Amino acid sequence: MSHLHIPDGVIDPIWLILGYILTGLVIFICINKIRKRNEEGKMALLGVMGAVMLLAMSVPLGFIPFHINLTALSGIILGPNYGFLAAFIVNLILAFLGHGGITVVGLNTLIVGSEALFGWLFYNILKRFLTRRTSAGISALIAIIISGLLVICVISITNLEPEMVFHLHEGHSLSDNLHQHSNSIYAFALTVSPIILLGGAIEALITSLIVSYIRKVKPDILK
Amino acid sequence: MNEIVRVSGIRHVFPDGTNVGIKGIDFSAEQGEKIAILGHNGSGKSTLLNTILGIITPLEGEISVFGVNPSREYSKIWHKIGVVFQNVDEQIIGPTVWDDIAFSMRNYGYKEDQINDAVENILMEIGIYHLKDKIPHYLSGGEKKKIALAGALVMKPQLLLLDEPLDGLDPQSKTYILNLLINKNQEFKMTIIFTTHDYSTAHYIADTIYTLEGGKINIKR
Amino acid sequence: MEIAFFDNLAVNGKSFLHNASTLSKFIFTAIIINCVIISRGINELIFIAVLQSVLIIAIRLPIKRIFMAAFNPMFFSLVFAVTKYPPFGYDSLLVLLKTFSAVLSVLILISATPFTELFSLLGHFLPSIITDALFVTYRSIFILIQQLDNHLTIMKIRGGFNGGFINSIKNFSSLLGLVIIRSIDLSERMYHILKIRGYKGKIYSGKSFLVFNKQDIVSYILAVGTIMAVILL
Repeated sequence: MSHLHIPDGVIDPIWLILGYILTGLVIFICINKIRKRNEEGKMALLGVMGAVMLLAMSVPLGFIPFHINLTALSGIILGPNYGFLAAFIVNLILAFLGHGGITVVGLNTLIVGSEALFGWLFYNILKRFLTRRTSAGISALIAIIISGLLVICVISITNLEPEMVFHLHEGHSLSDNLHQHSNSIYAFALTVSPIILLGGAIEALITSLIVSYIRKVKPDILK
Repeated sequence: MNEIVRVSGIRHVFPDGTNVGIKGIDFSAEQGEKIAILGHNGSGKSTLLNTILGIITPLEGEISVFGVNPSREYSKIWHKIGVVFQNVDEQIIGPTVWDDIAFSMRNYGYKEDQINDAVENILMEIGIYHLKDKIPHYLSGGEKKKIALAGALVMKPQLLLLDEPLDGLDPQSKTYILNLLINKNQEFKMTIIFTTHDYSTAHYIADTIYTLEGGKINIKR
Repeated sequence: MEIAFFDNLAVNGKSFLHNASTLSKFIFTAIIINCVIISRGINELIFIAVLQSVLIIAIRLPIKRIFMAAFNPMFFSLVFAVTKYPPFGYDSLLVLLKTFSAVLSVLILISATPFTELFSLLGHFLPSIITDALFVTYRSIFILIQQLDNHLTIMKIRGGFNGGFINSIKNFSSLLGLVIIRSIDLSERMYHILKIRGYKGKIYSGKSFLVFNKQDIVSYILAVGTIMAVILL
């Protein structure tokens, strides 16, 4: 898997609510931009790309123990606004299937949505200097690494419980608590980083090959 | 009689470079007429229907539907048109059979009691009342075809466009649907244009049969 | 694909939970998940997991398959539990049990409620563009899944996944590229037909929001029982 969907029961409720509020805000901005640009006609494309992402995730790559999800590619095809909405739709459906908690849809959408945004952003910057195929691959890899870092950041921040800072137990100083916390986050980051990097590399390779195929068969999609 | 559709000498180039031209005589349909378009796969039947709908804007040629150019002024005519595409899976969108059949009426702002009456009637007429609460994609191909047809007929359209409407139906359902179309046509002077590659179907229902072959359109009857 | 499997269970099921209203099932699930989140002891979580297992059997769902589906998403929790509470102690077990029960809750929900009904309910809270896209996503999955299956079978028969890693990845990517191209064509056709059928930015569902029935009582009793257990245990 190139993605880590945070499940229920790992993050404190206050952060879950904040995640939903932030996601709601971003969705509001995206929809406003879509309306201002009269892009409502892409609704069906949004729905269908959501289906493609879910299907891509369901295909076991028999030869390697990973699955892909094409979020960066969706960002490239749909643009940042629809890309974020696609991330929300996919996360919501995945949450109903148990992949990522239903209470964590907000935070997971922010993480996966960032991948669509950065995928689109880096692709549009890089395509000025590189071929579209290479740009797509590199932008997918950067986007996945950023979203992976975001997962680590979210876990790091949201697990810094307030009691840990404000309610110090006898014999424990604030620095002891923070030291213990940073150790566990370090161990977490160390464990998930190879997964993110390997998954990201495979997804980047596949994204680049898909773009190459689309360029040959139906180039207007990437215009 | 009122002319509803006229198409002459259209040519369309698809994004992949495929060039589809329909030359020869003008294609026309008058109010209340039942027209069959016969042709093999890839002969341009669907292109012709999509041009009439305004989904495709031809590079060349003249086209008029209800007196307007459909690709430019589609919003003026779409509420008068019912359509059933070849792959009905792509057009059934409502969460349940009932919702899908009521889809257009709700969009065009009909009152809830009008919608209920109309949907109930068409479900009965087409013989799918028992499916009203079902989720469409779990139904058979033939049942989906009937749902799509019900969704088109419920609006009592002035023009009904059907792309291979009888594909996937058993012989009994075929006869039933053909007779239903004939009745509807007589009931409110609905113009029906349908594509098929089955001559006997065309012969059974159509007043006029056009043939499409090698980019040339001809009249057979 | 999992979505098709669970949707099938939901559509064809006949139990009291299948017949309960969508809103009640949603409330029931929300209560159980909240109980799971606020639980601070193994006993409460084991009680909830046992209750869920009994419910799965009572409403005749395939327990083995549902448990398998619930174990899959636990990878993240395992990594989290082991790294936060090394090596593996009481707290680690707590995290894993929480994830397991939370996943079971949503799996029970989708095994007893068709996705279309869930989306119709969510349509009352979400912007219409998202609800409509959810319906399109759902429909497209069932259209595209068939295509993808056929392509994958043909690819396997024609040796597309032989010839080494790079060749397999290349062929797999071409296959996905093809599916994407077909999907975009599909979305264009879908949008055209929506417009022809008068679509003005909302796919309506006739289902009313505040509907309750007799079958709901059992789910509320179970929810209250769970709350009591979490408080008392």
